[in-house]
Amino acid sequence: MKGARLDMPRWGMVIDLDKCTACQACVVACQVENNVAFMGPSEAQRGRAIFWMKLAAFPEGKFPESKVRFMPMPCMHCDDPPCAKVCPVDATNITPDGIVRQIFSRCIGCRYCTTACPYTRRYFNWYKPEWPGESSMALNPDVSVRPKGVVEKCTLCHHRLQNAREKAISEKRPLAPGEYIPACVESCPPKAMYFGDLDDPNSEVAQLSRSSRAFRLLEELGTKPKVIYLREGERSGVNRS
Amino acid sequence: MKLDRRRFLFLSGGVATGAATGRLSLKAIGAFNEALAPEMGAFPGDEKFADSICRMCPGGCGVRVRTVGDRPVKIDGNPLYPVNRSGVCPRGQALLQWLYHPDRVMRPQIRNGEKGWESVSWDKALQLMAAKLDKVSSAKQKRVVAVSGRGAGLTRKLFARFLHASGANMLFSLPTGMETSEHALQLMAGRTNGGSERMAYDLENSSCVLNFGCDLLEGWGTPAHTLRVFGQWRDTNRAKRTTLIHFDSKLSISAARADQWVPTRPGTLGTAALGIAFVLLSENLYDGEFVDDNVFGFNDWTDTAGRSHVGFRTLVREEYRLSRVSELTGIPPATLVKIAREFAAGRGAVAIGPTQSPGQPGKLSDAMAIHSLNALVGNIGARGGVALVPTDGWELPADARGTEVTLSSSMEALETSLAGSPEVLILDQAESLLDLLSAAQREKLRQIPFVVTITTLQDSTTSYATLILPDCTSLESWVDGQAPTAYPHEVLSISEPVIAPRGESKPFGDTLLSLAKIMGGSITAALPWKDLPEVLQASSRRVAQNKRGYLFGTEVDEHWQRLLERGGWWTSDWTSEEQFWTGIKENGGWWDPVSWAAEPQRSFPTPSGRFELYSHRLEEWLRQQGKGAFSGTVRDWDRQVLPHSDEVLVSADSERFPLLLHPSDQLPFFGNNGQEIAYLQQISSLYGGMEWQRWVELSPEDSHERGIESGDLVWVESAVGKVRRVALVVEGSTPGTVIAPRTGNPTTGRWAVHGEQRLADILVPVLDPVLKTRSSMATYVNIYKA
Repeated sequence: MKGARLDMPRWGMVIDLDKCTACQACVVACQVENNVAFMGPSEAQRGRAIFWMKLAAFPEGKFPESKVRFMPMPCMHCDDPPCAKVCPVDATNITPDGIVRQIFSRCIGCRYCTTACPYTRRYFNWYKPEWPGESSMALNPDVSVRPKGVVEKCTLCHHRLQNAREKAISEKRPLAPGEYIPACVESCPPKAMYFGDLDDPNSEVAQLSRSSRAFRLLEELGTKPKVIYLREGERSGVNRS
Repeated sequence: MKLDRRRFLFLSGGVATGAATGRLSLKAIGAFNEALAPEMGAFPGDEKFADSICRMCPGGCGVRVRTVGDRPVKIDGNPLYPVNRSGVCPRGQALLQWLYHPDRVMRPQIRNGEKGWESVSWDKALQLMAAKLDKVSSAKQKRVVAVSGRGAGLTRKLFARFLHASGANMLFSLPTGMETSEHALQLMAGRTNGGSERMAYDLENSSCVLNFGCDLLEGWGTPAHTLRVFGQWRDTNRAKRTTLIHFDSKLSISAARADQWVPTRPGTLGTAALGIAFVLLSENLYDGEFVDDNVFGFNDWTDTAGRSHVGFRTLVREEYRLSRVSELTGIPPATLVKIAREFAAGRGAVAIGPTQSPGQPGKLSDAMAIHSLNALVGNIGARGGVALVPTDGWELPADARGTEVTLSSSMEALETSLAGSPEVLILDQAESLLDLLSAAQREKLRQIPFVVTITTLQDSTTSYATLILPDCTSLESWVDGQAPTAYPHEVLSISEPVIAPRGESKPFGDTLLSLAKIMGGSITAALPWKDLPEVLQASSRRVAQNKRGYLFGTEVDEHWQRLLERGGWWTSDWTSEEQFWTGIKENGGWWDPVSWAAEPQRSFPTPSGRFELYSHRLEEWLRQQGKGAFSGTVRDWDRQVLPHSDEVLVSADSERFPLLLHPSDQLPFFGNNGQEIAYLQQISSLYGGMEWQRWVELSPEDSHERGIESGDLVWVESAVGKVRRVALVVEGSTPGTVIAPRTGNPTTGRWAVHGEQRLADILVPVLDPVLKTRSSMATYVNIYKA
């Protein structure tokens, strides 16, 4: 029922690929915000670095018609998430407001979910995270550090929602639009990322999601992703949402 | 027995296997697991937000720092800071990894023969340095060479004044890459007497951008500003989408994200620009009014001695016919025609370039050819165009003795100084210098008896040092900021320290003031201030007297201020110097958001009073260099002065070296530093697998021919040397050209890969025939399996 929407938003993200500069500020912002462990040379070269948000680059075509397409990829926060279905311990599930969360402490490291995710947006901690020297001083106290042997992924900066909600409750008011946004969206220098309530027809994300440029990744699988991309615009055309 | 998480999982393994289908018992394990997890620590303190300025690159964006219990835990853009307005690039996001880097230099250190590094007190370190400088200056020889990789600002000015006072030594700053284009514009549009102007683009309002080889999205200008402008070009709230056309031989991120990538043969960017000019002239698409009234050297002309000269129009129509341009550049004529028509279609079109990066300042002739396009469409000084604007950075209050600061950004002069066996070398945040020097030149650095390095991290300069003075990040000190390269407005900003310096590190500005005090006499008199805030306050007085501009405000404020100014109003945000000082500290800065005019500039400080396609200053310069004296025909002479295209690629044995190598710059390591930061290393490899390494990108065609696959170790050999790299085959990249990042893994610190040769070791520099600047734009190489 639409009326219930006011109490329960459905959080979603829109990424305008036309405005994306492939700068990866979102990637680093996410890692800093969420205490994602970094890897030294040997582990990184084995592909074990963890990216809750990852910039995928797809070179295509032959010279001189060649092109590279870029796509920032967080967890798609599917409305029908395949990962949650296979988790034997309910360490990953979908909240009523649509966030596919990951409860690190409950995870037993079976990695069924990493196999099930068609977007490969889940990472397994092969190592105990190391924070050499003073580097642990920069850890965000709002986010727990994951031990070796658990799976992690984008939580849409769920802790930010909790903080914002607590603040709103303590001030006896509803959560205002824009009060909760994930770190990646906040950081984006060309402002190519939007975040908000997809169920609020007046929200920017809801409007952009209805754009003729909008598409979702692997929609045919029926996962119903809540990360919506806008494909590139037309040269010297009129800017169109 | 202590039951920890691992032990528990091990014990429960049997249960889990037995109950693979029994979700219930697995859930019970999960729940138990959850119960065993350590409690999250209590919230360690209050959350606060403080503003600062990022100094990861010379751009200096405004940042907002989230601190919890006085520890900075997150960096984001400051929405009030006009340059970046809330976004920061990945470099800025990684600022905390720099602040808390495990290889931070925490106290002064001195090299003690075989014993290695020894920590010393600040007193001892400064005494030692002062004694050394005293000794050298009393010998009355200019045996001190100082290099600063720091961006423009008060600290660099303090350093320059200190060097001047302590023996008339010169400070070298590392090039930004904009110098050649700026020089070209100064020759053509003139510079005021004694004034210092910088080149700026009003890109935010450009409608069509022809980019000749600039890596716009890989760190050009000020990254966060350029990235923000790119987003605005394609913002759905703006009616018309800005067209971006990229000319370059390599398929970079900037090329891929442009509306059109025009593959252009290396070394022919100026020729391509003149090809566009040819179309503008032959189809009569240029701004006739501006050209007729305000441009000199367009038509054929006769000088005072009665000699007739060839004009730009004649030269281009005769020598840059489309067929010839197409043959030289590899661009189809139809493409040039289409682009030229689009370029001339409306107001606000701008041409930028040639390649503007510290290692590749480009050719003067190319830069003049590109600026001639800007003149043809009448956008010099106009909205969306290019102009010379006053450089109004923070100024040190005048020295009582009237000594002026000497600063040079000439790499050639620096190399000459280094070759002259200096006694003392001071490297101030100058890691990127090492990527601009050849192996032989770097070896020479090791022979300098006393090398001081001012650095925050153990970086490649520390391996050359005798004395290390630990510097601070911008979060630990007072910082001043100013309008960065290419930014269209005047900006002066300031911020207080967010936290105390780590360990015993000290802001270099304070180190200089302490040193000046120790050295006494005229040096103390030249730098009389107690500390950095005192310097800043003294400098702010001059700005306070400027009756214009505003303290930083929101974007809404900015629009309102512009509206007021259009109506002829200006309301002062301050009434006294003290009020200005308090205001600028609170708001973070002052700026003058003046709108660029819709009409082009009409008067120019050149000998002719017009924009000069035939530059009298260049003519004079060429004569002084002995190039003139009309040795050839007048036409030959005119060709040298007018925008033209010089072939300057160093040719090589095409049998031995069939491939053309381009050094590339990457946003994470913009300005050739930041390699020590793990989060930046992790995003350095776009196609994955090359993190913490140095690699070379080949086309599928070239790699197939050589039996090379991605991941193979290969030798990259040029006429001057060879280096080992990891091969990366990139689909769709240009056959015949290879791309190698200028930098890569760190060479010092805990993640160092030792013995890695630098790309500079194989680059054959190209000398600009006029400016004599060195550019390493492309080098012929061969690649084979190692």
